[in-house]
Amino acid sequence: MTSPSLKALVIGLVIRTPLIPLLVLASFVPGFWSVGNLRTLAESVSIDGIVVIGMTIVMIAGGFDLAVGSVLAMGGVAAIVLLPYGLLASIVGSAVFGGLAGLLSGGFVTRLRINPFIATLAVMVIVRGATLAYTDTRPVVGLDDTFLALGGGYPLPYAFIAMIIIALLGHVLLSWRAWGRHVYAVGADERAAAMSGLAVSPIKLQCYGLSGLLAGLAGFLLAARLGTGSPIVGDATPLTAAAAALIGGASLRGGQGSIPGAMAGLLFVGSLVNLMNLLGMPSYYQRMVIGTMLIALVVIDGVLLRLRQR
Amino acid sequence: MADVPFIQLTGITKHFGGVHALKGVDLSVAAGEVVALVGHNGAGKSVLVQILSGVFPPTAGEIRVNGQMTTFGSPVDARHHGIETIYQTLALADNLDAPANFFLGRELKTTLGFLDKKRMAREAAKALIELNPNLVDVERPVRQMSGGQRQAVAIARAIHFDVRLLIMDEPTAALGPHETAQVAELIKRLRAQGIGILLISHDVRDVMQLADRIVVLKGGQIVGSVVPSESSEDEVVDMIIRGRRLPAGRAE
Amino acid sequence: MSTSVKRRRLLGRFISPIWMVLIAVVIIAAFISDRFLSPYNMVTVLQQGVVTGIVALGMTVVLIGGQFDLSTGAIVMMAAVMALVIGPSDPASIALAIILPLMSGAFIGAVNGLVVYKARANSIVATIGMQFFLFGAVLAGVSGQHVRTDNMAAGFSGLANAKLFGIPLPVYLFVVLVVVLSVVMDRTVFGRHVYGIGGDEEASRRAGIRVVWTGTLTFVLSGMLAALSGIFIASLVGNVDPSAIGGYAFPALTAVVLGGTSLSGGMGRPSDTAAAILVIAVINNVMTILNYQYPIQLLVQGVVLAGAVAFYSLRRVELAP
Ligand SMILES: Nc1ncnc2c1ncn2[C@@H]1O[C@H](COP(=O)(O)OP(=O)(O)OP(=O)(O)O)[C@@H](O)[C@H]1O
Ligand SMILES: [Mg+2]
Repeated sequence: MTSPSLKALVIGLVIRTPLIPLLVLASFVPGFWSVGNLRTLAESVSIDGIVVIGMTIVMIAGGFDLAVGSVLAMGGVAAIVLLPYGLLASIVGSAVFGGLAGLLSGGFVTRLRINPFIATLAVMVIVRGATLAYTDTRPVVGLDDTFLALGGGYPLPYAFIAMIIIALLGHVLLSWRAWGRHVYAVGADERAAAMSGLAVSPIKLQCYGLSGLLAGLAGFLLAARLGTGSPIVGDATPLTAAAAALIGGASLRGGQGSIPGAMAGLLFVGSLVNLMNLLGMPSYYQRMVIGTMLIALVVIDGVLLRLRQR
Repeated sequence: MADVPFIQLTGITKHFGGVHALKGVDLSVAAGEVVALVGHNGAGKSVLVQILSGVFPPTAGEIRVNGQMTTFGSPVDARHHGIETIYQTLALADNLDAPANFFLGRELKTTLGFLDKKRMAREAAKALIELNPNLVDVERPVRQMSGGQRQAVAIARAIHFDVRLLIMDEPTAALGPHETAQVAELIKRLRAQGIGILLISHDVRDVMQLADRIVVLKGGQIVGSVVPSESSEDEVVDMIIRGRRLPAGRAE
Repeated sequence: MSTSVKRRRLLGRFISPIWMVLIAVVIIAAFISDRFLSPYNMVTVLQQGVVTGIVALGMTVVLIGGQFDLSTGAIVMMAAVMALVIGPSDPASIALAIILPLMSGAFIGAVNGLVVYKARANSIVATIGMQFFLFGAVLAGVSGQHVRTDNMAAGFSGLANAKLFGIPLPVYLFVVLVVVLSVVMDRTVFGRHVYGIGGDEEASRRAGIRVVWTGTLTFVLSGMLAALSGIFIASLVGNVDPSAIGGYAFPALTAVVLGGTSLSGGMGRPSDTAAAILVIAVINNVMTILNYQYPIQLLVQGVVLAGAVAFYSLRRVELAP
């Protein structure tokens, strides 16, 4: 039962990503294997990780979600703003706002048949603009002990535990439920899926809604960790998420990928960034590395397609 | 046949990953000869066409033009040898109008190097109306044209330039009976001009009337070749379905 | 009937809906604020429009070929920073401050083009990756600092600031670019091939078009135009905050789409993009006059992009047989 997912994880870790060499290299960097740093690593991948799960599902369905970064920021702001109404309102609110943004993307893609990149680019800008306008471009601050405690957790951060749980749920949904089969079918060949009677539009809509919801939730966790909701965070999030999903076997043409694979991809990207931080490289270099990695990944994606056609 | 055929293929093999689309095909077409290629869906006809017109190279095998070994690196190479193709998918750019498609890749230019739109429109219209008098307004995107009109554009484009071998991949698939008859007339006319024709079709009856030779492809292999006057429709259909080789003496 | 159809088509050749929108927007803007029509404000509108407009022209050509270039925002920044770091103080360095950014823009465009057309990578993700790479590289190069030059020669600052009949030079250059690109796209083999590739890449390849070469050239053009825009910014203000000026790709894309260039390629005109650029510049200008700041302007742009895409895609569905 777990064998296919385990296989995807192992393949993702060993073959598709140079994770092992990276970790070996990391052993020479003092402090990488310390408990403190491993916790930092777990903490830093967990927020992006929750987003990656949604992005992977959307990509399997043949779409893309560029809006996850600004939805993350909006989720964080919503979490703080709703905090006075209780923790539950804060969690549910950030998830609902995120989910609505996702449905907006999904609506553009399914009802208006807009190219998913452009549709979610528009939503990305709309959500960013709305969040910046609402906060007057300044971070909002929330001080609630339980809320802030949710941003911590020792030795394992709560956010990391949340990521693991959501990843498991997502994996079950994709691999064990009919819904998951349908998502793969829609992504592989939309027309064939429609002709065999699948409700293509609702399925895609659900995928985008889910991606938005998870991004909103990730925003909540980020706000809890930082104690603030910043309207400007998350500009690199869609790229990191896409990179992780692509490393994990997803394709820009849909129908492929898995959550265990994407988690392996995330671990690779996260370790790389962590290493660069340990080595004291400024964040500019991280951008360069992520950009280069993304270009390389889409090139590989294109080459793989051509190899299959040859 | 004393002289060498215009085009000669030997041992053409094509693999797409695990799919073996062609397994050692030998085929030749002489000048002024109409060779029909028939076979089931997926037999490999279109793949052979695309190799002949330089869309992709064969995995193995030789191509000879007038006896000279050649390779086609691109569709332009095939064109240089006078090989023109009407693809099954037509290969028209939907957003462009008929003259633009007609001259796509070999546009006419004014002395200053700009596109000579007037001359292209005039020449394309002349060629098209000769072929299909129902094409009144050629200057609109081919997207808005009917299947038959689009086909006319593709055919007119292929025969307009200096063609030695014309490859037609199911040229009548989208046409009504009247237009089909016109294409048949066209094939006879081109044949009389000494142009070799490779005709791919599913209509065995049609092919029996038009072709000098019928070659049957099945599962990527040639299973037989007959001359229509010495054969019958039933026999050809039988070969397509069963892939049965002809008894010795009747094969060419 | 046939003649009226023909006349309408002839008219449509020169006047597309976006020009009507532009006229409408200008009239509305004039009613909203009497400051709008003041000569000083008109020059501001044109100046702002032109900087984004030059970027948008390049993106239009790329999109007619069926691809997206979202790295332009970073190329603008890179070119501006380069020009200022070179410090155009004498004729030789002025030349360098113009040529080097242009060549870098062309080089990055070539890389984009090869990645997209040769390696067949998805252009949106690949050029966003390039955008990230360039941002990182430039920020690393200047250690995240503001870039300024203290002894900019008059010749260089005149590039963007000098005026002829009260109108800044870049506006004239923009008009020239629109005319030249219109001719190139409509009247040359290159332009025709770009439309062909955007309409059907495989059909174009079979028709003998050198798809990789032509397609890569569209990206080179886009990279160079983005760099030109960056040079104007450097000349205009003389100092640049590299972490703040990356936002040119999005408004440019919005203009390209608003101008009616098809998202799937093969359709669009540089002149329509120019009209759309002016529409967006007017809207932004009115919002600034009414004291709606950047966030609202961003929001409105997102809505305009979504609305434009929806409008054109619905119209196309209607037109389809
Ligand atoms: N580009 C390609 N990539 C992978 N496989 C291909 C490709 N083109 C063709 N094939 C495979 O090669 C085989 C032969 O296909 P081909 O198109 O030549 O059939 P055909 O004889 O033309 O059939 P039809 O009568 O339907 O046109 C098929 O199994 C097809 O799936
Ligand atoms: Mg075929």
